[in-house]
Amino acid sequence: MVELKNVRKKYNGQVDALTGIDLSFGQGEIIGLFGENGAGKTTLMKCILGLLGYKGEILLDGEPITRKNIARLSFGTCEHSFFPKMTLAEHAEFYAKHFPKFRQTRYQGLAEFFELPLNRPVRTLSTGQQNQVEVILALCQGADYIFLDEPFVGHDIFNREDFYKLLLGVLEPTETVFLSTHLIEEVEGLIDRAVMIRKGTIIGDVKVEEIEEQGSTLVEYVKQLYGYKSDRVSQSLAKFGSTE
Amino acid sequence: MIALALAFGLLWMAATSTAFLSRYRNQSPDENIYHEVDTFWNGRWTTTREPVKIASLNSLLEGVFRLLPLQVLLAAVLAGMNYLSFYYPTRSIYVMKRLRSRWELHRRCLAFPVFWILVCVAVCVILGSIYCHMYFHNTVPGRIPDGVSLNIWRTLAW
Repeated sequence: MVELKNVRKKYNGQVDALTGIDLSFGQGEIIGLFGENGAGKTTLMKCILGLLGYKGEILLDGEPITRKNIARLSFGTCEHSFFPKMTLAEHAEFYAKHFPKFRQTRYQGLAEFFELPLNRPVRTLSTGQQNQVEVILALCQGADYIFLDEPFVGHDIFNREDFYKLLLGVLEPTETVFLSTHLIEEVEGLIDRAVMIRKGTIIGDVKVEEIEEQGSTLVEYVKQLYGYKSDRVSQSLAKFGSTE
Repeated sequence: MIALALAFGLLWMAATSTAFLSRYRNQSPDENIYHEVDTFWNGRWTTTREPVKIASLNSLLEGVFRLLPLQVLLAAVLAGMNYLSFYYPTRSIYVMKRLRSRWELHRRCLAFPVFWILVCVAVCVILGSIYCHMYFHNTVPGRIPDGVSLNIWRTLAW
């Protein structure tokens, strides 16, 4: 289980990126993290992974996250963390050497599924292919907790749909995926739980099953939570019309 | 580019160190060269022949390895660029920070630059030893200045 206790993060000592985050998630969950741009989604993930300093406590099965247990976490980011000069085959060698639980079969299967060339440097692939490589590496590291930050950027709709189905098929029951995305409607069928973050604070944490039992959808729930006014556009257009 | 600069710098360093050879050769160290010295002794002038001393070892070796600090600087720049490569164009530093060994990143960034510095130092030591051996064994006895010493830092002088 990953536990966050009163996690706070400030940039330059002034900007509050995270304010008192309390969150926990266990094995086998697929969690969607939603929030507007600048809400703190990426900051939250990077604090969990130890890539940013923070105040508070983040534990993995009761222990602080150190180099001894960090391999249980993997990270796929839209910033890209692959080695650009290495080929996919070389990435597999590197990961197999440094991550004892590297999933070779899954890696080869996903590379084949996305039709990615194994012997070309990743920097020579298209942006969409590079995004696929990034996600594949995160899924195949052998981690128990897989953090994906906007993993679908650059994927076309067909690739995304195939990917959702694939994700549900390849994941083992003990693997947890913590996924941040803006594509709420698309991932509703994929995730078990939705966590909403706004201005560094968690404003909602709900199981998708519970929303469905209430006869609502995740999109409606998020809109309600954010106080989204569906008529704001028509109101604004009416104002533009009247001033002209 | 940096690797090419390093290789070129090593060749240039070896080439400029041959300045010792031309300076040493100019001293004609293997020839018995004398000069006459007049001395007044016991009320009369006498003329004696004394061997002409060659230049000191320090002066012959001055600056022959002055490119070594440049090589060290280039190796440091290469190390810096190696570290930077994990931040740009991708953030592969995120992967390196998940490795069990904290030294893997430093090993990848520093191994070659440190090796290169050691190679350059080794070349300087080997060439310097050869030049010192030549100075003491190829020079006609009596022409080596008294109290000869070696100041290593002068070999790096500009």
